Amino acid sequence: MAQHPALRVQDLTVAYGSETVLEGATFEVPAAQLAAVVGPNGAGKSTLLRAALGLLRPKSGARVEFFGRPFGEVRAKVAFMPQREAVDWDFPARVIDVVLMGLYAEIGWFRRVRPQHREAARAALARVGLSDVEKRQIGELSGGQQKRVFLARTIVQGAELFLLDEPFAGVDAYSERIIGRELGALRDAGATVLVVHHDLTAVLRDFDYAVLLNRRVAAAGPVREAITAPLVAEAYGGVVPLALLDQDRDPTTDAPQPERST
Amino acid sequence: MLDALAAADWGRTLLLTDYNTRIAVIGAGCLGAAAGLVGTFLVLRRRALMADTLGHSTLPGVGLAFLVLAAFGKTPDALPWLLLGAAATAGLAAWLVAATQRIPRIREDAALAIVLGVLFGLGLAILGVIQQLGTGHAAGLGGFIDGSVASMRAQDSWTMVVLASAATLVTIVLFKALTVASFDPQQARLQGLPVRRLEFVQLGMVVVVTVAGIRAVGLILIIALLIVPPAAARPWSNRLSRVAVCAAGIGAFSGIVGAWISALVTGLPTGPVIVLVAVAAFGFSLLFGRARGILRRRGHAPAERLAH
Amino acid sequence: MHKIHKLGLFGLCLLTSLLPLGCGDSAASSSTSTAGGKTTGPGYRIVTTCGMVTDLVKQIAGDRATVDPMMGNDVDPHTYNPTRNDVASLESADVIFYSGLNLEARLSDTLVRMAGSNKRVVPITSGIAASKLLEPEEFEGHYDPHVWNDASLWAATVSKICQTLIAQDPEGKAAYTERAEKLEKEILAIHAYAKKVLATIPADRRVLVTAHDAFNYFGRAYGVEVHGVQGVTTEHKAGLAEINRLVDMLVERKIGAIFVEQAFAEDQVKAVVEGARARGHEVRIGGTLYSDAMGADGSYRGTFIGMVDHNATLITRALGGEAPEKGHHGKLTW
Repeated sequence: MAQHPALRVQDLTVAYGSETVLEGATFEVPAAQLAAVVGPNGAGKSTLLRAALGLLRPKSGARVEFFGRPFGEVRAKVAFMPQREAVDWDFPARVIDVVLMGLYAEIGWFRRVRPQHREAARAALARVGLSDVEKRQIGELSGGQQKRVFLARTIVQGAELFLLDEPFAGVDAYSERIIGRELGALRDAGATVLVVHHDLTAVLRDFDYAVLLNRRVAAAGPVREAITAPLVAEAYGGVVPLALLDQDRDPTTDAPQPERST
Repeated sequence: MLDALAAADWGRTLLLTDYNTRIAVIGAGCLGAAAGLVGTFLVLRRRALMADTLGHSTLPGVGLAFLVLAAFGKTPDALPWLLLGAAATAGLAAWLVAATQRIPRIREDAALAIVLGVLFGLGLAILGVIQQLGTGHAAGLGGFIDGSVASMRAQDSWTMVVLASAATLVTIVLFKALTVASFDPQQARLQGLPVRRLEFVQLGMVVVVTVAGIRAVGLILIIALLIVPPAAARPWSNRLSRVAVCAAGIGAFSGIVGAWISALVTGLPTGPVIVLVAVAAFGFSLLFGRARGILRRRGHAPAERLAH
Repeated sequence: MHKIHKLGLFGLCLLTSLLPLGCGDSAASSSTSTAGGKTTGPGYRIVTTCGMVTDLVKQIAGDRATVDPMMGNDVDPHTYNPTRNDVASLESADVIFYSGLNLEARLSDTLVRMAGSNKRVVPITSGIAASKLLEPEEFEGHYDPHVWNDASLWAATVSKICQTLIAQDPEGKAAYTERAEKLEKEILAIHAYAKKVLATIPADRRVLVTAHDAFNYFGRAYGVEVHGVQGVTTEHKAGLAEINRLVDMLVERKIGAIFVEQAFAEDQVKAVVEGARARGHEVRIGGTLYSDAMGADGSYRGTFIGMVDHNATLITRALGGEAPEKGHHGKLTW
């Protein structure tokens, strides 16, 4: 597995009608990295993830490989966490039910949910700090908790590559900390994590690898090579986010290290 | 009308002494159960209007089948053939909705309304033609619009029983797949589920229930039987499996009680009574539902504030 | 809304029946006054509604007028909606004959409007004395329109048609009168036949159960007790309560046969048969009666006489009476 990157995207182009939102995206994400896709609003970050997974239809000529194989052959190794808006939170499902849905493919579509599956779901909920609300209807949770339910559903799949669409968007500080900690833990356990992110500071501080995107891939590589003032200025149309102005200083020295899980 | 409510009638009706009452109650109950079960996933996918369109679209099928039978000199009210015609045009409607949506700038609601209008209009036109032709037995066709369980026969009732069993079986077998496909279609696709084929199966079940139901409640009210019981079931539980069982139960209850009431009171058409019972159940559930009823709602503040 | 139409039509019936349209000399004078300069005489156009009316009018008018039926012989007049062509046809007609008593329920509006114009619009049942009409309980002050099922009453409409035609076309008086008298005789003959054969049914079995209540006049005229699975119009379906009561009656009185009707789906009658069978009583479906519409155009059953012959013969034989298999005129084939 080591010879293949966890994700390789080549010439991925997506258009909604006549508007091209992603153009010839080409990059790799090496295995066992905590990676971020960053870029300004409308840069095509979510589109990139969903098109790579085949949820959107890219223009012809694109090639996407997961661990060197097409997605269909390695489904079980890849988990995806959508944005909150992807589902109806009024759905008659409890927190534990949603997490169990992550296990359905593994359990088998025509087989019963067994106690060990329930245990696995509870363990995932414990990791994201939601043990006490497992029987709540999902709509009763706060936005941050809902994100964590989704994260638990993603974790429980036991994948090797995790693609997460805006896991930090609109969450409270507590949820943000837990989500950050768990993503780090996944990476430490050998998995690859690719996150759509909008906070450059946090990416510089906590992530290993970055893909800088503005309809095209501006840069992809270790975080401090990909996110440099000139590249960012170009991608963001000349407006450099404040956080990058003191780029010369090593951001890791005065910011907390990403928490390594036990 | 009051003499119809004599005590003797009450006893006989409740005990299902009369063959025709028994047939109607069994048939309507099974139909209600099947509709509730199938409707649950329809409502969760927010495709309630699809049922309306499919229901109305059965009319041209019934009419065309009638014409074809008459042209071949068969007794033109042979029910199975009429239902086959109904299923054919309902299927056509489902396809047309999908096709219409592919036209740029036409959204789903518009597509549904367009197809409903075209096919129901076509159906009314065909009924008009039939009436001019005078092929005989045409007076029965009006029954497809309003429905009538009174004239249900054993074969009709058995159809409903088979249907309810089939819907139950399919729902149980596909329960997990249908759940994920309804809750998060993207996730379903990533997990390798054939989402489009599932949708096809689901619409197929809706068509079958609709076609079976136009006989009892009529093609206009069948939408109510598909949509109201699931809506009534929702306040009772936050678990899909229980909501589905509850919807089937409320559907069956509505069918049975509706048939009972119309057996007791002369001049009450069964289809509308069944739907009214379902709506009453819906009102009751909305107020008293255990999980989300307005009066019983547990006083949960969002958990965030409690925990942190 | 519907009520108003009914009342309107009822009023129309009264009005037209009060118009001075007597047979003979007085009619000739009235025609000159009402025709308002319109050409009268051979070549005028008559529009009729249902088959029972058309048959009589055609026979009396003969070749002196064109008769355009609106509905085929086998079309149910209760539920018939007029088309644009029908309305145009009515507008260009010189004389319009319809049955009346709200039989052509959905034509009411159109007919009321036509009556306002300068043409003869005649409900032929206005030729029947009101005292002979039935007013069923559930029909709320309206007469039962199925008068033709008592052939002697339908015979009374013949002179009404004749008078109207003479008024329209006085020169044809002799021809009309002759044909009308012949037709009236034929109808009364089939009436007598029906009376005779139906009387051969054993008294305790003389019960007629049909798909809907179209046979009240029939029952009164021929001494048969009648029950319909559903009410007087073809539009309302029976409820479970009615079905159950009917099954009770069939079982308790051991009635052997019930009948379907040409214009009706058979399912209700079959449901009743099944209900009786479940209680151990076998009821046969005695056959198809022509209640609201006749047989196909051009056939014997597609004439009024053939219709009565068919109904009387079929009922008699199914309920255990004696009637010639081929009917009064030997023209019935089964």
